[in-house]
Amino acid sequence: MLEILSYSFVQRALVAAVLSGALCPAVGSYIVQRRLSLLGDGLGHIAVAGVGLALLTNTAPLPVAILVCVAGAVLIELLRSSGRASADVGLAILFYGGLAGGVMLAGLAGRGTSALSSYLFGSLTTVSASDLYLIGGLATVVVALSLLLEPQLFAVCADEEYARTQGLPVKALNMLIVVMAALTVSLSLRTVGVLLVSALMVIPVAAASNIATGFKASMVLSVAFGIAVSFGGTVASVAFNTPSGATIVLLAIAFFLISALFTLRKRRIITDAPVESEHHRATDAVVPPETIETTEEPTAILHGDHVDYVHHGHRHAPHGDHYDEH
Amino acid sequence: MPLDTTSLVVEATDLRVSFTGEEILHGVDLSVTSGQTVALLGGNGSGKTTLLRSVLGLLPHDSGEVRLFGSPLGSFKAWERIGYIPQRSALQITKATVGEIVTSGRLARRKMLRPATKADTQVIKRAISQVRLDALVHAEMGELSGGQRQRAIIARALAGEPDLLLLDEPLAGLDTTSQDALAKILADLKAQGLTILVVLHEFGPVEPLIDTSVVLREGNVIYAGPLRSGPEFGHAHPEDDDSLHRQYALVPALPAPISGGIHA
Repeated sequence: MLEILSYSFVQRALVAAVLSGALCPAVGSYIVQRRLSLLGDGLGHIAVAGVGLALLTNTAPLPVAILVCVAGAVLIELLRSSGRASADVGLAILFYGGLAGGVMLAGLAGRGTSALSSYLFGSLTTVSASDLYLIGGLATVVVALSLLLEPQLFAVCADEEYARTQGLPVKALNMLIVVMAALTVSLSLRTVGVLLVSALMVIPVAAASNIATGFKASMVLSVAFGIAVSFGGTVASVAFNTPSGATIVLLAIAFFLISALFTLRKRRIITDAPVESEHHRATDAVVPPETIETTEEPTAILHGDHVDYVHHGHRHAPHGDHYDEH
Repeated sequence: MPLDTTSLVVEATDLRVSFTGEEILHGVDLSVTSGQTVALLGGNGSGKTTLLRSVLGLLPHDSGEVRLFGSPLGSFKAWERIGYIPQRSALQITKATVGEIVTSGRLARRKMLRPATKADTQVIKRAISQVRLDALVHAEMGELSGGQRQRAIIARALAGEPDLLLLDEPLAGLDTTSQDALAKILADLKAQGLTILVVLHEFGPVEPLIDTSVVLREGNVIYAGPLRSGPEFGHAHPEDDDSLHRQYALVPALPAPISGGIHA
C-alpha cells in the first residue's frame, strides 16, 4: 500500500487531487451562497468543448480547456446579468452546445468518446508534470483571491442589491466569481473530471454547513473536507483500482451523510433546551424583545430563542461542548 | 460629520420609472432634508418601493433626476453615507451569522484587500449593540425570528455609519412587540441626527417619529406634507386607499420639494 505512494505519478495525482480538493469548496462556498449550485456542472459541459478542441488540434488539453471554459464563463455571466427571460434558454444552449461540440470535435479528431471519458470522470494517473505546475499556480491564485476578497465576494453573494448600495463593483465581482468557477472546473478535469467537479464544489460545502456555524467557518471546514475526500479518494482509487473521480465524489457523499447526523443532533439539543433556564432569564433582562417575540414564522422564533441558548450557553455545562460553538 | 440642516439629502425631480415596459412612476418629486424623517406612504402598487429603489439606483429611471447629498446619482460616490435596509422578505441569507452580516455593512468604508481595522470592529460591535443583538452575534440568520432578522439588517446599515437610512417596509410581518422595539431603535437613530426615509404600509408605532410624509397613488404623488391624523381625519391607514383618500383629499397636493428640516 505505502509503496504505491512512492510512484511519482501517484504523487503527482495526490498533489493535483489535494489542490482540487481545496479549490472546489473554496469557490463552491460562494457559488452555493449565490444559489448557483449547478453552475459548475454547466461550466463542466463547456470545458468538454475545450478538451475536444485540444484533441483535434493535438495540443495539451488542460490549457485549452481552461481558455474555453473561462470564455464560456464570461458569456454565461453576460447572459445572466442581462436579466432577459431568454437568458435561461441561452445558458442551456451554451452548456449543451459545449458538450455536443466537444464530443463532435473529439470524433473529428478520430478519438471518439473513450478518449474524452478520462476528462469527463477524471483520470489521476494521467497528470503530467506540466499539468501540475499549471494546476498549482492557478489554484494558488484562485484560492488566494477567494480568501483575500472574502468580504466583498461574500457581500455580493449574500445580498447583491445591498452590495450595490455600498458602492461595490458588483458586476466585476460577479464576473470574478464565475471566472474563478471556470478555472476551478477546468483545473479539476484530471482529478474528478468535468462532469463530477460540480459535486466537489457543492457537497463538501453542504456537509460543512451541517456542522459549522456561519459562512466563514463553513467555508474553512468545507475546504478541509474537500482536501480530506480528495486525498482519501485518490489513495483509495489507487489502492483498489477504482475510478478516481467517482471514488472522491462517493467519499464526499459519505461525509455529507455523516454530517447530516450532526444536524439531527443539533436539532435535538435545540428542542431539548430548557426554556426557563437561568440563561434565558439573564438574556431577558438584557434583550427584552428577544424572548417574547412572535412572528409569522413560529418555528424560527423557537429556534431563535433556543439557538441563543445554545450559542451562548458555554457557561451552562450540558451544552457547553456543543459542536456549534467555534 | 456635522449636519447641515438646510441641505437636501435626497432630491428626486420629475422621476419616471418603468418596469417591464410599464410606467410605474409618472413624474414623481421627492425631497428629504437633512435630519428629517420622511414616510413614503401608499397602497399596494402605488410605487413607493419603486421610488425608494430608484433613488438608490437599484432601478434605472427613464427620465428625471436623482441627487443624493447634492450629487447626481450617476456620479454619486459617497455610498458610505447611505444605509439601505431592504424588505426583510427579500433577504435570502441563511447561513451567515449576525456578526458576518453586520460586518458586510462596513465595506463602503473599507479598502479592498485590507483587513478590518480596530475602528471597523468597534463600529460593527456598536451597531450590533444598538439593535440589541449582542447575545445573538454568533447565531445564523436562518435561525432568527423575523424581528431579530430585521434588527440584524438595520445593524448592517449602521455598520457603515450612514447619514441617511432608507427603510423598505420595516414593520411588515412583525408583531406589535417587535414593531415597538424597532420604533425605539429608529427613535434613537433619529435623535442622533440621522435622516430617515421610510416606506410604510402601516404607521404602527413609528408614527410619532414622522416629520413629513409623501403619499403615492398609482405612481403619482397625491400628498406631500406633515402627517395628518387625528379624529377629524378618521382613522388613517395607508394600506387602505379609501382611508388615505379621506385623510388627504381635503388637502391639495403640495408642490414638492418640501422645504425645511422640521425636526432637525
